[in-house]
Amino acid sequence: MNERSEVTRLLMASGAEQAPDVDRLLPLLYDQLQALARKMLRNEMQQPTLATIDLVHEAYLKLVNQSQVSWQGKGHFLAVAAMAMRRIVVDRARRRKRAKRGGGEAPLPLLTGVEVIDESGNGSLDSEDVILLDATLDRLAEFDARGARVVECRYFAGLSIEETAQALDCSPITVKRAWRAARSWLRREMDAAV
Amino acid sequence: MDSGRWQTISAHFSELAEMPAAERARALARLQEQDPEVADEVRSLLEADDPDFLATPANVSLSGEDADPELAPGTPIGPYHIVETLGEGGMGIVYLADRKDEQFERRVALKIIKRGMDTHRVVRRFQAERQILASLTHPNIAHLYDGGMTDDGLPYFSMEYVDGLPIDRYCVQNNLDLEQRLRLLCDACAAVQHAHQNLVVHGDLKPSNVLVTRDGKVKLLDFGIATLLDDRSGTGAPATLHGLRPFTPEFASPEQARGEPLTTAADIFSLGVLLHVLLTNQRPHELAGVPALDIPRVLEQLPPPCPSALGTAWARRLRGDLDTIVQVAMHSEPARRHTTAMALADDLCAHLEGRPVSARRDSVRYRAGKFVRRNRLGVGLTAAAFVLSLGFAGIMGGQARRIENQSREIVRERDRAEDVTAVLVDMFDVSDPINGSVARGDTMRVLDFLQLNEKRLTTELRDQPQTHAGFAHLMSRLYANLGHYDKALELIEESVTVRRAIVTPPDVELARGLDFLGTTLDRLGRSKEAEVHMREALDMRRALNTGPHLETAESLNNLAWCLSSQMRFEESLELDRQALEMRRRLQGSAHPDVAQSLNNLASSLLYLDRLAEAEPLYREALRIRQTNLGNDHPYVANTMNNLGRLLCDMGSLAAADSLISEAIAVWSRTLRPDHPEVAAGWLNLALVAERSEDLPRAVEAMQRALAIDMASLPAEHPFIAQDHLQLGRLQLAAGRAEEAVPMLRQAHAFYLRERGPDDEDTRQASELLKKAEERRQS
Repeated sequence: MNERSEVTRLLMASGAEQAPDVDRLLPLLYDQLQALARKMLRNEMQQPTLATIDLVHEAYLKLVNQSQVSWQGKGHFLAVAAMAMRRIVVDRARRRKRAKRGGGEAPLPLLTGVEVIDESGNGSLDSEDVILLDATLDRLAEFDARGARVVECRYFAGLSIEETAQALDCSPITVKRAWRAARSWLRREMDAAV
Repeated sequence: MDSGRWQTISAHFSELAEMPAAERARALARLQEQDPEVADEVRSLLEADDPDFLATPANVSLSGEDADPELAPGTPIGPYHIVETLGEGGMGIVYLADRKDEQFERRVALKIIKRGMDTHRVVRRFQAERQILASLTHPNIAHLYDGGMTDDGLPYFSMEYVDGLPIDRYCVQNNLDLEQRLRLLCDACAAVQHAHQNLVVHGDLKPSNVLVTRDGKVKLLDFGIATLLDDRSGTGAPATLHGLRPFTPEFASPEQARGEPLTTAADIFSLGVLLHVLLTNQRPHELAGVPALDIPRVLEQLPPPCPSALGTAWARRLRGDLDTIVQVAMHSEPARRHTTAMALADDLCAHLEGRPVSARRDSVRYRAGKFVRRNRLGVGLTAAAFVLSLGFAGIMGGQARRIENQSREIVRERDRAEDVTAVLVDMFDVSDPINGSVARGDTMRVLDFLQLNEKRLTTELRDQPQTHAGFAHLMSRLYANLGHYDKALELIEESVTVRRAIVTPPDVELARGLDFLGTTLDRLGRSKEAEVHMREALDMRRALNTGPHLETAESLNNLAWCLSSQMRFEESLELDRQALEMRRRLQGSAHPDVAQSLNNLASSLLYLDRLAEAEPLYREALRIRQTNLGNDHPYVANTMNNLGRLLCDMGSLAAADSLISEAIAVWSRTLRPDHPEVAAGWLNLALVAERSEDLPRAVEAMQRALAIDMASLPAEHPFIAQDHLQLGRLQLAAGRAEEAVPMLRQAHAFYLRERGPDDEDTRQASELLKKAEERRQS
């Protein structure tokens, strides 16, 4: 069975009542999203970075037979894709951090100014912050599972409020509230950790 | 924390977060009494509430996999070979490289973006630097050679390699005297002036960016954080975590340290610091060890510098003029500094030549010069994306206020305030040239802005029809102003549909929507459909307002325009008269709206060949518009173009030529050269050229009109058929039958299909086509 029909099958098996088989879907999407990211980045030389939301949308088109999958099915896809995206982004941040450490002393800046702020970031966070966010998010999930999933969808997968609501099967208002509260808590905890 | 407790806390937080500040404080106080522990949690969460945090989603890049080692000597990059590493900055590595081929040998500084840094933002900033360098050509600025992409897909560019010393070290090592130092700083000022004149602010002037070569030549380097004042190229500065941009504290002005938009005055301040360093071999202040967040406050509280008080070799000569010049250049208020880099250089020269200097210590006589003010405006506009888009629309004159009112009305919907604010904030985020993810020229910027925000209409505003309709209308207007009528139509249709579902007619907003829908359809050549909507709008407005009313007058005016597109000039003339009368009664005789009515009335007369009656009306319209709007305004251009056409018809070819040419110039400046409006100018110019018996020029002008219309109008638009017909006719007359045939064929096909075989245009096209085909044969 190829990946497309396998993903479609797993999504079809899930439904309004039936949660998707995350344990099987997640590794599948992780690998597929990685491969797709490499492919898209290589094909788009002008765009050395790729918004995760574009990746998720592209993956949905490529990996899912839309005619066979329900609205809930798409929601499940988005939710699991967001989990996979979180792992991919965090893994890359870890590798980048290692690479930096191993890269030896950088020569003194000569032609550029003193940069007060680190801007080597991913979205608005740098590698260290991404790793810290990942750990803090785990702590959040202990008492606010939904909030943590919302952050996964919004930040790591770039989903809109609507799409997040679809992924988590709740209303957009709920998403907005959970997003704002979770974000404030994360910000407070991350500031305290630095 | 357990989840029950979190539920309590987050419920309070959600409720309080949406309250206005005063109400929130009261609610917090109440909560404090009921449950102090929860209140503390909620308060700290409210403090951490930050819409920017995590606002930009994560992205992935190839770079995550492995970081680049530095490139080894000999590595080929495009036509270059790496010699050695010169330095490494935040976003790129600079190498010394050689170019060797048959023609020449050249040593360059090669700046390559770092792997792992090639995020959208950094790449845009990198490209912005390259673009800025490309726009500057000055002997005192290291110039750009070329650029490209490495085999690994990393952007790079090459620039002049400057083998020199930082200006302060150069002065010390070569033991320069005071005069020599001042001359060097004047050269630096000239380079900065050149950048400013090209609307570039350097933003990081300091000794290591102002090098002096062995033969004493000043070279300005590193436009890595430079910004464009008018933002023609898009992105200037980098986005950073807190919206601050990198800067060097000891050389930065207080406003720059506060993170305010860069202006030319910030560079003047830095030049002042440089001057201080050259005069005294000391920086005016040391900020080592001061935490970044405290720097703005510390800078503001510093006493005015006084170079002569530092007891250096030339202390006595510094007292007076030079002290004052440094103090003025480094004034904490940007408006009190020298207005230009050249003014600073002039003062230095004046001092050297013993003339009186213009700088006066804190004198009342500070000039808020035109140059600086204009540029401030540019920066001010780019600083707020929403304002930017309105500001851009602002050049459309009368529309601006209406759009502004509209957005204010939208914001006024208090019950929906939170969501509207969120949308505005989000719009701001993506469109902000400093922090946003969008790039390129003014027009492109507004377009990007619109495109990016379209999705929100259908997603985030779906459950708020009123706001949805308002935004769709607003964006439709912006698209129309930019000449993108098809997008404008889509949005105004959406707005009207949404509005219809929630209001009972007659409704003010619905009438506005219908009127604009009609206007847009008419622009797209669908004037019959347009008429239906405009009549509905007119009826509604008459039902809502008895007697003369501005909106009724607007409807009359627009309906008249639509009728004249259908060549029903007698009817349009009558409606134009009614609109003019109404507007004069309500707005007096010198109002811009009255000018619009005069202009349109005159056009109806012109079409009816009542030239003598039309002329004084155009002239009055032009006078009113010039008085109210100045010369540089699309409406002024419109009336000039019309008057030019009239004069052409009356036989005053020279006057017509200059008016129409001027109109084209004004349009090109205020809109853009390929805006659909401008086609009307080229069309008229073609006519004038033809009557002046300059056929090549006529053909060329007509080709321009056609090209613009083809790019901006639907293929079946009557204007395009008209262009084809006229161009074919002119080409035939100019003996270019070969080219004329396809033009005439297209025109003929259109007229035959739309108007039948007996129509005047159809017959003309048919005859001309026959002639052209015959002539092509022979």
